[in-house]
Amino acid sequence: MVLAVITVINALVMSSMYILVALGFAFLFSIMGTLNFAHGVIYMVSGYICYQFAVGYGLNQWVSLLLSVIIVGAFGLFLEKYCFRPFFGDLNRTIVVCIAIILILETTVNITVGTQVRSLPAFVPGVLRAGIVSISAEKLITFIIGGVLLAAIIWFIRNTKAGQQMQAISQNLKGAVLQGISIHRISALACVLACGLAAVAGCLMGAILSLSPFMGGHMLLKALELVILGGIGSIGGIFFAGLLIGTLDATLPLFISGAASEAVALGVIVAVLLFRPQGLFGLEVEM
Amino acid sequence: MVKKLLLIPLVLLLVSSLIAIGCPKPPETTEPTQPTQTTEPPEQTPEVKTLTVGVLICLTGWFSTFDTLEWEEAQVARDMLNERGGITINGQKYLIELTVEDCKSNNDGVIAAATKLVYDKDVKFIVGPAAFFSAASNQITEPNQILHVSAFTSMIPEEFGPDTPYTFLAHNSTVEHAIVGITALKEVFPQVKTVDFVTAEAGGSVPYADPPIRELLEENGYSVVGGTHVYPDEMADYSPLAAKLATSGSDGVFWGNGLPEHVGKALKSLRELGNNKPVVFMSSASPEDVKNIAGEAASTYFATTGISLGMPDTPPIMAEMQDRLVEKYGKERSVHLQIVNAIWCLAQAIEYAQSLDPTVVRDAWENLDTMETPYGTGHISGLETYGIRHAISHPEPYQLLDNGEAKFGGWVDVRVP
Amino acid sequence: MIEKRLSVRGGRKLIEPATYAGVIIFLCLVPLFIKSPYYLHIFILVFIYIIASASLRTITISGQFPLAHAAFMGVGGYTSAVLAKELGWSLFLTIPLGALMAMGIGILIGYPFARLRSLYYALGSLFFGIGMVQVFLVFNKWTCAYQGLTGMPPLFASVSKVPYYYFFLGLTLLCLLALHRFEFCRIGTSLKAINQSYMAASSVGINEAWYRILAVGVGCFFVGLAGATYAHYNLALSYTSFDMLATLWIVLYVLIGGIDSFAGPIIGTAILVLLPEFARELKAFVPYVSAGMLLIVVFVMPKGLVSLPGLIKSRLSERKRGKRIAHVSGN
Repeated sequence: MVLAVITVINALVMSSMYILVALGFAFLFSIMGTLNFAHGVIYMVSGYICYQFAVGYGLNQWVSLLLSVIIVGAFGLFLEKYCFRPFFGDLNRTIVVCIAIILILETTVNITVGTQVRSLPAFVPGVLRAGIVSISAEKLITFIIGGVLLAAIIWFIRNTKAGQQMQAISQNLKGAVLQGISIHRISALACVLACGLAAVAGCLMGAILSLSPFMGGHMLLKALELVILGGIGSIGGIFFAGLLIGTLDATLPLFISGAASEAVALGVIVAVLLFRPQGLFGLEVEM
Repeated sequence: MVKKLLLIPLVLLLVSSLIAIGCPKPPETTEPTQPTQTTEPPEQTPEVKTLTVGVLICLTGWFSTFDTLEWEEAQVARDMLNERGGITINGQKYLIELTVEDCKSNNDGVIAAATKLVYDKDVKFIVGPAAFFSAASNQITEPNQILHVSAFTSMIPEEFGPDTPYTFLAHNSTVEHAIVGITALKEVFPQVKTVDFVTAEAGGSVPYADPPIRELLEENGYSVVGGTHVYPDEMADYSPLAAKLATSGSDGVFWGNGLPEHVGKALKSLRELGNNKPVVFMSSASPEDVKNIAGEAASTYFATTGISLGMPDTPPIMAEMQDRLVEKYGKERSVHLQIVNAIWCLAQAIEYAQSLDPTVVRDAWENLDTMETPYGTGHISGLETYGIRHAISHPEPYQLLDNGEAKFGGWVDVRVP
Repeated sequence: MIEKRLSVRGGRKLIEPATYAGVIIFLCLVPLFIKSPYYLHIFILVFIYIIASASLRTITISGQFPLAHAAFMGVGGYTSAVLAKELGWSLFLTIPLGALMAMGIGILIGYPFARLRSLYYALGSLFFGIGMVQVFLVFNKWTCAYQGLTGMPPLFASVSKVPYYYFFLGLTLLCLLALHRFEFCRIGTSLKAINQSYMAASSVGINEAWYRILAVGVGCFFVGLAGATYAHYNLALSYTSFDMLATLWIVLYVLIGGIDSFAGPIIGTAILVLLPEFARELKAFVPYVSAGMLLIVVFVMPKGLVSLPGLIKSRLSERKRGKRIAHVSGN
């Protein structure tokens, strides 16, 4: 039964990791309707930036995380103005631009530093043990931060003026414009927040999972899975979707081969989509 | 429209400056991965010709994190060979020129690269790839009678065997590493009697690689607990695997094919669970790489086949290569020397055969007994294991991680029958 | 003025078929002056991927945007290769079977998926495609998907690429002809009607679901055919040729070429496959070239590369008109 306990912990931790990574993506998608395929590479680049500050220049790790968030958030501004705004509503061209960004960033990182196998030092070193239960401190911190950020985003959308303006835009664009809401400013803010969230995820994951120029692709897929399962239009939905996918990913590999567990997880998602196309909680604008 | 066209350089400028402040500059001024195709001949005397050898390397894609290092090392080997006079055939001196083609980390890329080398660049000798892509490249090299020196085999018959008469193997990979791993297990962790056997999918090699490794384990008195744990090559999170390993009841873990990142992450998760069973990693990795991933706290009770700086009894060729690599790229870099081995042995075989005809070289090489490799004296063998006497067995070192420190383990003189 | 306009229109009518004939004749003559098997190999790849992207575009006419196309190519490829290798069946049997298998699976999942609206359909098919690749891997014993399936019989018993070149040129032309007929016949028009307004279409009696499934079936058949013939040409199949990235590239070929025009995928495939090949010397920097191409097209030519001649013409005529106006107003 030790295995069962360990697996439960694994499931919770993996769920929180996926939720953290998907948060920025879901936020941008649900609010602005923008499918930011570049989310994965932004997540990856933030990890490397944090590494450079923390290990290259020797700064404190949390400071490095903050710096990474700021830089990537600024990049989000640029991204919104030049890559998303011109193609607002045009999914095809958004995808093309995102793929171009993915190619550029991945290749750049691969050429400059990709060949070094590296991982960020733990943000909080040490392992906590209680009986047969043991969890590394950094995974616990990630779990907590993930939960806090999720709650914070939901609070932000419901209770702040900017958040409510975002809701208005996602519900009825023309109506929002008529109300005098500045679409561009809100859109930029949303993108900055989304990239910042991606940065937090990238830095924390970089410590737990190690850095690689290609770590973005896998996480982008997970983010997509969570968003579709949770439902477009619902941020809270990714909480439950994350739990489901995390549990599947923690338990299935114990019994069947890796490829089969992926196939089963995807099969579950496709099945849900077929019976409930809006996802578990989608389209109810329950944020 | 002009404004829009300006956006593209602006994007690139911003992105590159972002990366530039974010990432460390490579230690030398020119990019290490800059493709250099020609070597500058020391004197432009009419007597010196060049022999072009094709190199298959994954410069882009997921395997490039490993392969680009091999390419850098290959260039060092080429320089060293040329300084030693290159290859002399019937009085004519040849300097070696390497031409590389990108395999793009997938089989289609390998086929395209091999096609380009064979049909477009007309090479007669090819080295690489350093992973399980050989089966694909053999589709091109074998029918065209190109002498192909591979740097890796995962025991798939199409990669290397009686059906690939023009392929030689400079690095026995699976079997060699298994022998080293078992030796390390015996010498360093004698208390281990039962093991978990873990391996990456490694390009579908498991049905072929599994039996010989298990056989070796059993011959040496080890019993495997449960079935082979196979994991997908791109798996990101190793906690479920670590959970299985921690609760399996075995004395230790014997890890087959995989990459340093894989075993590093699993080691980290395993130690976090409070489990201290020894882990022996069969594949080539530098202990520093594994330590970087696993973290200092988890880096203990670990052994891996691999090369590090300053090992006792380092052969002189290897020592010189290491010195040059440190000079060029700094100490942080891990050293693999797999494709280097292929180039070094190929050069000797061509000179021994005194011919540039791949068939002649092949026949001569088959009948050789020993060859000097950067690892020490190598023996040509492989008839029993692969069905063809085209493999080179050479000594191989293994390294340890003990209490967060990397230590030298020992040298094993490997003979693959 | 009227006569001038008529003659221009009459002249334009001849330009199009003349251009096509010219291109086809040029392609037929290529092996005569390009001897390098490597470049013939690249041409053959372009042909195969033209079939794939054109068939993707056929599905998009009905308003659906599937993101699993490369996986269907894999279905066709693996079916034909495994049947031919393990059971020894003739290629005349296995290749059509491969195409039919792809079509069958397409229809099978097309049926429940037809209810989903655009974005959900796209993402659902994305996950299905990835899942399909995992299924290939699960059956690795037969598909050898990881290390690359080898040992299947080749299309022609020749080492030279020339017969393959003509075979694929002919095959591509036939497939394009079939797809073109499909698009511009009554069925195709109905599909476009559904795309524009499914309510109006159904009010005229068009059964939306049935037509959508038909579109998917046709598209999947041709891409399965492409995959099956590819298998017996390349003689090595690995799952990386059929994963999500491969699908995204096929999608890019269509988008960059121009999704609104039949010629779009053809041009898009040709440019996006040939460009990195010509830039091969750049080694690790090649993705920058592709990214640059993508950015140029998406910012400058929203309707894809096919719109480039139109853009240039309108730019030129604007300037001409500007000059004439300036001249008339006495500047």
